[in-house]
Amino acid sequence: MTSSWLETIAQRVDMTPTQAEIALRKRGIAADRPLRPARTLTITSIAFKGEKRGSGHGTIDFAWSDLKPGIWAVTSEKNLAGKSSVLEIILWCLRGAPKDLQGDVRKWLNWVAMTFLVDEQAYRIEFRVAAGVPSGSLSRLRPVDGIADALDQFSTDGGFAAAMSRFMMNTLDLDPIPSMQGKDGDKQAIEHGWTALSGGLYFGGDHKQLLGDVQMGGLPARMLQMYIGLPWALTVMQANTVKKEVDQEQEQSGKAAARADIEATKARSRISTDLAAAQRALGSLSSEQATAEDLERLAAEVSRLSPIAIEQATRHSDAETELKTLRGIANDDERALRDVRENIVAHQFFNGLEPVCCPRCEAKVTSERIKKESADLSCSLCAENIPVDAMEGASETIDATQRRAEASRAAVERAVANERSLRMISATTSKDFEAARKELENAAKGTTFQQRRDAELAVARLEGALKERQTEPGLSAPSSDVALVQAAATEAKKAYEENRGDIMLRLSEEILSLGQRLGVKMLESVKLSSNATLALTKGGEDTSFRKVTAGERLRLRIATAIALLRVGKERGVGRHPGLLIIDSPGAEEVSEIDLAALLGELQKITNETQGLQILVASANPAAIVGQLGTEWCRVAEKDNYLW
Amino acid sequence: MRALRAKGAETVAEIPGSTDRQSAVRLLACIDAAGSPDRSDQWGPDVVVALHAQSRLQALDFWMRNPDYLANELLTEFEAGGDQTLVHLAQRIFDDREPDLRRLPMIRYHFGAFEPLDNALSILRAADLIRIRRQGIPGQVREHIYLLTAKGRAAMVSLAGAAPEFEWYQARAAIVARIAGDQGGKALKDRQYLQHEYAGTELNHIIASITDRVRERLSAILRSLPK
Repeated sequence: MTSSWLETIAQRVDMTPTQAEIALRKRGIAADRPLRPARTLTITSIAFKGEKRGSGHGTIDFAWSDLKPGIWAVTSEKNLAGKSSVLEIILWCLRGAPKDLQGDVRKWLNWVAMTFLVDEQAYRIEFRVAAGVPSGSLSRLRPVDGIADALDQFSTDGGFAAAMSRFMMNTLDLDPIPSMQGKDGDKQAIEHGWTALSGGLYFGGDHKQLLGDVQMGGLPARMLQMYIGLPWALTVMQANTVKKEVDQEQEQSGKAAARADIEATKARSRISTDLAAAQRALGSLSSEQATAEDLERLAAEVSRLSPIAIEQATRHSDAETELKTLRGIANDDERALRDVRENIVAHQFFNGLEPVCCPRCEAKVTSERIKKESADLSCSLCAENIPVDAMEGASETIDATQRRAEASRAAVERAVANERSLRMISATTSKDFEAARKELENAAKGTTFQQRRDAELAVARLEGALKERQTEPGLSAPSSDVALVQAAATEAKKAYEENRGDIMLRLSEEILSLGQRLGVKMLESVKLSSNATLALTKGGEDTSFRKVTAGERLRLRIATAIALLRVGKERGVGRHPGLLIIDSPGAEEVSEIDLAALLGELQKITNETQGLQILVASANPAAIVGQLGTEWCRVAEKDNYLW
Repeated sequence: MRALRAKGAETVAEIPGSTDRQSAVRLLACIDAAGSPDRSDQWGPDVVVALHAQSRLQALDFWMRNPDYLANELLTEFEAGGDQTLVHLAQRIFDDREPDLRRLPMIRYHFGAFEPLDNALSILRAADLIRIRRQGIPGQVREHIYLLTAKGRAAMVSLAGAAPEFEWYQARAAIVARIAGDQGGKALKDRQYLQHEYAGTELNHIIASITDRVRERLSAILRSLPK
């Protein structure tokens, strides 16, 4: 690698290495630590006091000191003599939390003290127990004079657990194992701390797992990687866990964004409909829209045309009146002409008739009177003088009357033409005026400025709302950590693959060797995977850790733990502290010979493995003491209790 | 033309009138056209026709003087009998502007349109063109009977021949006589009363013209006629 893990990541996400380091630290991702040898944890003494109650009452005062690397056993003839309790109390001290310590035993205790070494440094845990609750301290013992310096104090179960976790994780150079827990889509990032990791030291129960006793997906594999001290393994775990976390965040925000997108699509559709309606409304307004200038112009036109139309109407009306008058005159003249003619003719006719009788009295007109009328021009009826010139000038009268009638008829004809022409002019001007008035009326009735303004605002508002929702919501700014974490995971995985080398192969060899020595029959090959599975060949058959017997599983577990220790020492890496606590191995045994052989071989192995300490609780004291030697054992003989 | 002052009216505009001689010609034409032949020789050998009652003569004269009312009667007659020549006669009245030129308004009295006829009839009587018989006793005359003499008929013929104006009187009297038929004065007056302008005219007022209304009626009829 020409550039470091951090540099590569920084380059990928366009950050400085320092920025990248800070960002990664915030997410709990750190570069691999420099390799170094595992620390060694050795129990040096365990002591506890209390008061037994119930059937086997009595004072409890147990002390077992001067312990060192090697295999140690607590054993008794009968069951329920306190063997497991000794181991459980040691576990309580180591973990700060009891594992399977029986409740009544816990309540009987009133004082516990344990000393241990981490490499060459001595520590002491001492606490009182009141009603099962611990209250005490963790101290570091000065190398020269053994004076205790308190490192931590506690007075509750939780406080004790936290104090021991903090101390052990730091001192043994362990890191919390990050993990995602919970159902899909709603997982929480959690950490497995000392409580889980300490399972790597304990061998009890039915040995279902190669390492530890927490049944959780992936945890044994991670514990294995942790204890092997595989380079970059921890960083890979951290980065992968954070990546899952970030991916989930993204997925959740993606779902939220998808929901928001659906809502936005609905809103867009609704707004588009409203906008189209508003645009139609505006469009319908614009055709009738009149500006103030238009109104002014139209009003001016109306006021210009109004007097013209009135004047023309008046002129036409005058012409009509004149025509009517002239018609009357012409009629009168024509009538007069006829009257004159009729009267002249009638006058001549009736005067030409000879009177016959008096129309009044019916008396006959005498011939004398007729003669007298001719001679004297005296009327034959009334004797009045008959005017001689009565008919003179008749033709002049007719001519004059006729001329007048003709003149007045001509005047009528001129008046008719004049009236017709004025009627047309008046009709035209009045039509123009009416048109202008109508136009003004329509313009005034039409859209007001405010209506148009409101319609424009409605359109603008909807357009704005639409634009606002046009931005693609699906692309909500992804956390910048996504790329960073992705890069960290990729690069950590790469570094892990490049650096792990042949360590798994070496471990497999060691497990095979140790397994064979510990009595796994016909074991021919072992292949340890980094996911904490163990593939086996036994008697020519391929099998696996899960498929073999409980006793064989116990032996393979112990072989694996010791292999971690031995290969770690050999390579100068690893984190297993070299302490194995084995409860009741005999429970899985079919014969005492097998148990003795197992312990004997373990003793040999501890002798050849520096820093390995094994604590065993088991029945069958005869076999154990015979195999390990009295000084390595605490024995409760016959019906006695260990404490 | 002369002023005609209606009794009781404040003032009356100068309205067309006629001279006694014109009235004499008009009445002669009416008697000539509407009189009934005297077959019984009751009135003497030279009497040609007789026309009963002054009210009938007045009613005939009303149509002579009011061409608009006459045209209306012609249209009514057409609608009753379907004779299209009547429509054309009415149309001719308006074409010749008779309502303007020939109308001689009359005043409405208790018993209808009436104008003293004495002067005009005297002209006819003096020359023995007509004779007048009164039935009843003096002061209580029941009926006037107008007798046309052969001389009167000859006078009408010669008047019509003397001037086209008088020919018009003869022709018009023939139309009026046709419209009047055999109806007496009372019946004719009732027909004239059917026009609400006539019946609605106040007493002593000039009987109003119905020219415009009849002209519209004529137009409507003309439009309805097949071309």
